[in-house]
Amino acid sequence: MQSSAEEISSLLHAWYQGDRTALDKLTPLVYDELHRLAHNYMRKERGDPTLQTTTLVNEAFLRLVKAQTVEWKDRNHFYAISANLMRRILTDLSRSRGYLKHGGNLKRIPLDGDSPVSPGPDPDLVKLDDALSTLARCDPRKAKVVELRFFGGLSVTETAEALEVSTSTVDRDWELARVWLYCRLKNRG
Amino acid sequence: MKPARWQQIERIYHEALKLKPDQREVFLDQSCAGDASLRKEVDVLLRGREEAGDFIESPAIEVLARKIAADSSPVGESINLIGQMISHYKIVEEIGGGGMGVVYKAEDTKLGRNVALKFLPEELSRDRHSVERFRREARSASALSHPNICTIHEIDEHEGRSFIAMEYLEGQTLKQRITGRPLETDEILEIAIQVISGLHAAHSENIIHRDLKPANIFITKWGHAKILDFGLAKLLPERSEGTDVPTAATTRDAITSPGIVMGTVSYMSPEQALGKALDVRTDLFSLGVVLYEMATGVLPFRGNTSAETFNSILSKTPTAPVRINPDLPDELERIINRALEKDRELRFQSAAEIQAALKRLKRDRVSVSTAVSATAGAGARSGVRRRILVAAVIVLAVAASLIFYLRPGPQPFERMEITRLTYTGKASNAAISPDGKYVANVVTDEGKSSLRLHQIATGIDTQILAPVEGSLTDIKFFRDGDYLHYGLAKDGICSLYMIPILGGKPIKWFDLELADPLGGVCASPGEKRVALIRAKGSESELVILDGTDERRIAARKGPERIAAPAAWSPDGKTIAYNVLSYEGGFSSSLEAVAAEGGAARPIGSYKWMLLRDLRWLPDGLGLIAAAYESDSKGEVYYISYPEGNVRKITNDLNKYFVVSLDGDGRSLVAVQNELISHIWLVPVGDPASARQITHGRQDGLSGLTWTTDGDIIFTAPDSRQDSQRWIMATDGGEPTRLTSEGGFFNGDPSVCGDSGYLVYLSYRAGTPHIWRSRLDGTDAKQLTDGVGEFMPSCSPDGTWFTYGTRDPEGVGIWRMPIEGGAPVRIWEKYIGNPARISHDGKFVAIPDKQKLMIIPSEGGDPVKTFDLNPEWGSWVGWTSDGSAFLYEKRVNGVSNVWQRNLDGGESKQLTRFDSEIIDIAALNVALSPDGKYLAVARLSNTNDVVLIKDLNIQ
Repeated sequence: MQSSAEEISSLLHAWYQGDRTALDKLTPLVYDELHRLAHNYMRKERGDPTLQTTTLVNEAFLRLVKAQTVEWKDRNHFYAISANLMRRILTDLSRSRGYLKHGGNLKRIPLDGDSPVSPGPDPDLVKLDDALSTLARCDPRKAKVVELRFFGGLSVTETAEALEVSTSTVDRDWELARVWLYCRLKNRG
Repeated sequence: MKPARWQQIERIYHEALKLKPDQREVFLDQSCAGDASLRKEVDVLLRGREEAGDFIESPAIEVLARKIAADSSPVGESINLIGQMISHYKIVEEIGGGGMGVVYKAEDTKLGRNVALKFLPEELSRDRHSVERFRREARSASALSHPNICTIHEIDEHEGRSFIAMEYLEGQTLKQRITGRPLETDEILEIAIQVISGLHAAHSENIIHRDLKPANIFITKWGHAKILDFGLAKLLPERSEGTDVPTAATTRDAITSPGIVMGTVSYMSPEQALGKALDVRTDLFSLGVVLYEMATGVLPFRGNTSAETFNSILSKTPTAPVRINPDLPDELERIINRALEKDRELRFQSAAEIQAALKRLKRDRVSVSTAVSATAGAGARSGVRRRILVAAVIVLAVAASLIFYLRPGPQPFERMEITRLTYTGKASNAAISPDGKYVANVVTDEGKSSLRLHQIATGIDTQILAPVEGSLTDIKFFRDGDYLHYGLAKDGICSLYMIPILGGKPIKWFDLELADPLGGVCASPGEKRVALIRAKGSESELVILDGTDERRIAARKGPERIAAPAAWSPDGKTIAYNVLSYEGGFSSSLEAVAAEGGAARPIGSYKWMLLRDLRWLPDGLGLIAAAYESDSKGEVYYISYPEGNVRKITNDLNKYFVVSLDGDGRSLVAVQNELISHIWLVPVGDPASARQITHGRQDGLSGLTWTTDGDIIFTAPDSRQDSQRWIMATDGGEPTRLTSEGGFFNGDPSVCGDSGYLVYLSYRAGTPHIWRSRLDGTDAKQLTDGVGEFMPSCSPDGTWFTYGTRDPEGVGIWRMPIEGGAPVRIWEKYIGNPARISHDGKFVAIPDKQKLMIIPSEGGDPVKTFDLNPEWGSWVGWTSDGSAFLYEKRVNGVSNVWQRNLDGGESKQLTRFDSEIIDIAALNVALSPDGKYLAVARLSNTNDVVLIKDLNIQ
């Protein structure tokens, strides 16, 4: 699946250079990637351990950013917009998750696919997106840290670079933002 | 919240974290003195922190992927039923599935005819009320005997699941027929009149369909339209109840669960969307939507979410059909508009009324053509002649498909032989020379691609292009095979080159902007022209460039788009290409268009998930494609041209994604993705003496375990390939097969001490549960019956076991006696790795992402906690004396097993595997009970070029 990472790389590149249609085109690729991952999880659950869970999308981000041949005038900016792009795509895909499903299974229809009991371990991305927007209003940097790390898949170091802060600040922001989001989702269901 | 307040909370929170839990109370009391709400907020956060576990620690895309995985139905059900007798029906194959359950083709052994069996979904089968309604509705629908309604033969029950036996139909649904393009007016009228005729019959019996849509209208291969699923729609939860009491709540549910009911809401009437009481006129509105779609190829009311679609149904006027399809008669447009009136009083009031309008239009059309012909002197009989003509066309079409089946001689690649040509494991593209002697192949490693030439006869492989950044596409031999053509895609530019195969510099002959990842280029056989697929926004196009000119020959807009691959026919006159749709899931189909321009036409109606590569057979009478049927299944297909009949050439455990044909179409090469697993035995402390002990294909891929006698039991695929049996490997001899064919997936075996039993994960009941059986597979018993259990681990004395569960209400690790009984939850947080029981059975080790926790086997707080280094890979178990644990560490693509003492100190490397393309799988490592050997299932995941030779043609 090497080519998928390359496709995503080139698309991100195009998008970064101002191709506004890239969002529409990225979506099916992310969708594809999602299904590949989902399939891997299913296999893992069945005891098939062939997977690597590093995602192509994140791999593509990094490959692109690290590629010496690509001119990145503003690498930090690229990190930021890529993560934001992933946030938009994944939230939208999550929102229309019926569309992602193969076949129907009535049991899972009633709620937005989420456990009615608790938000953990895996949150509903749509709700998380909302909560993150709320967080951004009172503490934009923390919201950015979550966006970069959770949606963009960046490491602490990369996040620190992108935001031009120290890694310990990222750690602290992440610590509180993560817990705050957890509580928010838990209380608001 | 005010920023100042938030900063205060943040400061206190972080300071509290630095303190030990028992000191926090005092600290918080002091820091929040007098401010109860501040204290509460910090408290909530600190408590939340305890519960949050791995919350959002893995990237969002993984979170979503896990949800999709959890939503997708597991294997099992369909596999279980095939070949079984249900009442007097013998199940032949699965022919479809959907919201209303799975449909099978079956043989009625009493009457010797084929029937379709439709099962009510399991969830509804459990609900007595639903079952009753299902039967009542089906009974009333079964009373309908009409040529345009699918006949219901019988309603019955099998092991608690209700099913309907109905008429077996061959053909396609109207949904498959429409595929985004308008139908011919005559065909629209023909189908509509038949459908309404069926509706009329049902409405006369006071039966409303409620879910009329193209997917529920079947067109048999003889051209009859049949309405499916009469009355069943009532059972869907988002529909109004049988009593037709207004139920606003049901609609609200549909709105608040975006996307879930998408696809069906598009055909809902306004009164249905509002949850009002329904009468027959709701079906007439839905029919209007179907008519609109047949006439234009698109839906009148659209939206990205159900709410948007509802809004559109309730308040928007659809685009005038004639603006989308200028050939549409005005009268048909008027009929469609009237059927789509939002106020049902203004709509057609009965099926009879709309039927009459359509029949008048049909009659008038014949008269018009008669009149036109009459002026041309053809006389009054041309109306009849026209009908004869239509009939003749149909006969021709039938004849054409018969010819396909009767075509003399064997079809291409009906009997064939597969040989592997390369062993790099990193092939990404390949092409075979016209004389079938050479294979050009691309090796891609770390983002760089090199081009190599492989001589089939000698196996000699020479590099002809040193590694370059970017990917190599469109590889082809040309000019009698003396030159190789390739495209280099990099940074959104695709450059086309040719290079002499005997060595020399590549010559660039084309540079193209290709920022579109789904696009592609394809040079014509005479390399004079290039077909280019590209997209802008929602528009995609296929253009031909000949150096100076650019000509668009096909285009698409909306959810369907033209995408790579494309292929020029051998005579350079036709281009076949992929039409990719991502409405309702990904699907690819084939289309062809003349290079000179003209109407594009579909090549058959087969749909794949994703088409990866495409080539014409040299006679131009067929195509070969590499395509994915699902994420895990990619095969090579033969497609007849122009009929579009599809046949699989390969059908095995591997996945194929590139194809290329030689000059006479007798040999093809493909890139094959292969997954192999073997078991190795590694003496602890002597990694150099590791040796491979099994030579099967996927040994231990789904788990392995040791018996107390020092044998290894592992999984191996049986002939069904998706299911597993047990094999025992003894030291030295050939492995012995323990169980017979399974027919369902079994994995994660864990031996239960000396008891002679093992526990394992099985899909035998359709969903994953923990089972127990003797080592030879006999005496199998299902032990758990929850939402989905996994990762069993049996205690050394064989009396109890632990397992994890997916049930959101029971997240964590459970313990259960081996004889069954009430499970006890011993850990209440989600974990992703298996828990392992210590050798003395007193403790259970639970790996978290950051921590390894040792808890008493009866449950309770951890007695010990260890931080795990994030650089380590998965945690795989612990040593028999409980003093150390094992983990997997991956360096440069190779995994090895390491051991680390719980007391700290240096880690010790237990295995020294070094081959590059092989990984160790986390779940598949087990230490022998005496601690002397490590059994490891090693995996390789490779891409290599294979040669497929057609044995039919000598």
